[in-house]
Amino acid sequence: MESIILEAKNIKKSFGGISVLEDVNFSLHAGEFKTIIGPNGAGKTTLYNIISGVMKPTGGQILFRGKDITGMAPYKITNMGLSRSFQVTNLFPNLSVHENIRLAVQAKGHGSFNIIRSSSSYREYIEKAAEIMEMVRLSGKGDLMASDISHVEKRKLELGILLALGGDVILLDEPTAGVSAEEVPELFKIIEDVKNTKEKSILLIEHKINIILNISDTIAVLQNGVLIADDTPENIQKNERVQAAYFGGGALNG
Amino acid sequence: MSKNNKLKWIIPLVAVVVLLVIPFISASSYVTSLLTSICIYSIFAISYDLLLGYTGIASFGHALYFGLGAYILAYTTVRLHWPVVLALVMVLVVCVIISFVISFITVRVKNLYFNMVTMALGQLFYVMSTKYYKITGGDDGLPGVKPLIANKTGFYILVVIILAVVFLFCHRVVNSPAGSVLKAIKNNEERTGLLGYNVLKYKTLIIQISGIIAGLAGVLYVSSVRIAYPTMLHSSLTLQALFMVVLGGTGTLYGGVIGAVIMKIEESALSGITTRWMLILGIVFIVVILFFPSGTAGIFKKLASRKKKTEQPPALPETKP
Ligand SMILES: Nc1ncnc2c1ncn2[C@@H]1O[C@H](COP(=O)(O)OP(=O)(O)OP(=O)(O)O)[C@@H](O)[C@H]1O
Ligand SMILES: [Mg+2]
Repeated sequence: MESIILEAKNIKKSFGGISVLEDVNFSLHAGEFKTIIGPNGAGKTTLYNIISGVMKPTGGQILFRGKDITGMAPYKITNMGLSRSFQVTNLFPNLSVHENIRLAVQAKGHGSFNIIRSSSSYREYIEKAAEIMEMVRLSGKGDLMASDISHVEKRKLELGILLALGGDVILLDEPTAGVSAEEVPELFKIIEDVKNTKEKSILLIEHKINIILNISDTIAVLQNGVLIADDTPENIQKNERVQAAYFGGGALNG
Repeated sequence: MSKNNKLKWIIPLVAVVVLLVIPFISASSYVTSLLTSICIYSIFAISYDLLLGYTGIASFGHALYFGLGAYILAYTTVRLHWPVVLALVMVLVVCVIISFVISFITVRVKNLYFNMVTMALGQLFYVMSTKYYKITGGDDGLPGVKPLIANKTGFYILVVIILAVVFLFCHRVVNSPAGSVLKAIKNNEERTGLLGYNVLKYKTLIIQISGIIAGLAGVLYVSSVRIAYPTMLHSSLTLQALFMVVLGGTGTLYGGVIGAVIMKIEESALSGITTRWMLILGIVFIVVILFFPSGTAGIFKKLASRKKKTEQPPALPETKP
């Protein structure tokens, strides 16, 4: 197996005494595609919030490339090469689609702090942004306001921003949330494309079991803040605890 | 695209030329001083727009920099007999330091707290200006300031040129990579951080730029009225900048200029008739907020886009239920 790139050690989180995560441990290897499943309220998004620095854990450690990043400012974590997307679309609504992506491209480049040169003179950022827009099937939408595009396009833009950041580790939080069944495959095609570049280690939160069984190297199951399994898709399907909690009991949305 | 870009520059260019020739057409010194005051307030309003319109920062203590510029120029030239250039350097240094200290304190607090802290800091200096009589002259102010240029028309032309330079500079700033980040902060501060931008650093940058420009406006103002007095530090002056920017249109730069024109002309037209001109302005303000939330600039934009729409062939026919 490749080396571990991201590791959670005994992550605990409680909100006002209510425990949401209890000693969560997992590791993501370089190049791995791991999906986290679990019912609503299991603590999946909270785990992302902790990894990305948005929230501090009540206890435990997050290691990124062996370095402790627990509680570090989110911008520093992003700059180290770990970035995330959001379950609830989190864009720059009054900026154009192109500008949303260009800002993400610019973030890791030089000249971000320049106050005199025109943004439009940074050709490399504009070209890179165009490339990303093509990747997420948003070519031709560049001039539209992010608030004016359709929901599925917003989800594509959410992915586009993430990819434009160029992190080695990407955390996807329900990229297909709120998207109609016919539109889901298109979004997953984008995610598959990313996987096929073999450049990134990917963590995905997703409810759509049939899709993730094929795409994932490993699947982790979170239930009531406890990681009850973390294994290959085949073994996860055979796992009795998971079956009881998930496949059999129909507790998917419980 | 380039044609459009050229067109965009015609209006400000014409405006500057018109402003420059007016004193040579109309000899009225009243018109010249009204225009001088409009231009100075425009500079102040533009500096406020950088915060409010581009970064989404609502400061209630912006008059602080204006007043500092005014008082420092007055004190160093009148009391200490410094040469003007040295006084200007002092204004710059103090504005940089104070804006840094203030941004250090304020960017760490959120929303309403930010407003309250900026207001408190601004009012602190206002109160100090009324109390430290020996330095500031208290409520009587610091009179005897020599204008930067003795000739009224000459001074006015200097102010127009400075306004044009400030406008150009700010235009560059808001269209630069850092300017994009400011717009991103206004749109979505949390996500801006998650893109890898150190939001505090960018906020500090713009608070400093905006503070220096506001200080410059204060310098010009004290130089035109020849006395520094406490209301130059008062929060009501900040509110005037807020009024102007909202009236004219936030996040446009020229909105501040439009707002300054409207407010100063209304003030000079109505203050002769009624002392309640602020009240009338207040009503205008409420109407603008309610019906034209993007200000006068928004009205123009709407008209322009409507024109564009009628020029285009109609899109799909609307299906009526
Ligand atoms: N900021 C917060 N303050 C208080 N409670 C919170 C907060 N954020 C999340 N919670 C609670 O923590 C629990 C886990 O929430 P989380 O969003 O992590 O679940 P999730 O697994 O992502 O669920 P879903 O599938 O619905 O997205 C929920 O009970 C939620 O109400
Ligand atoms: Mg969630």
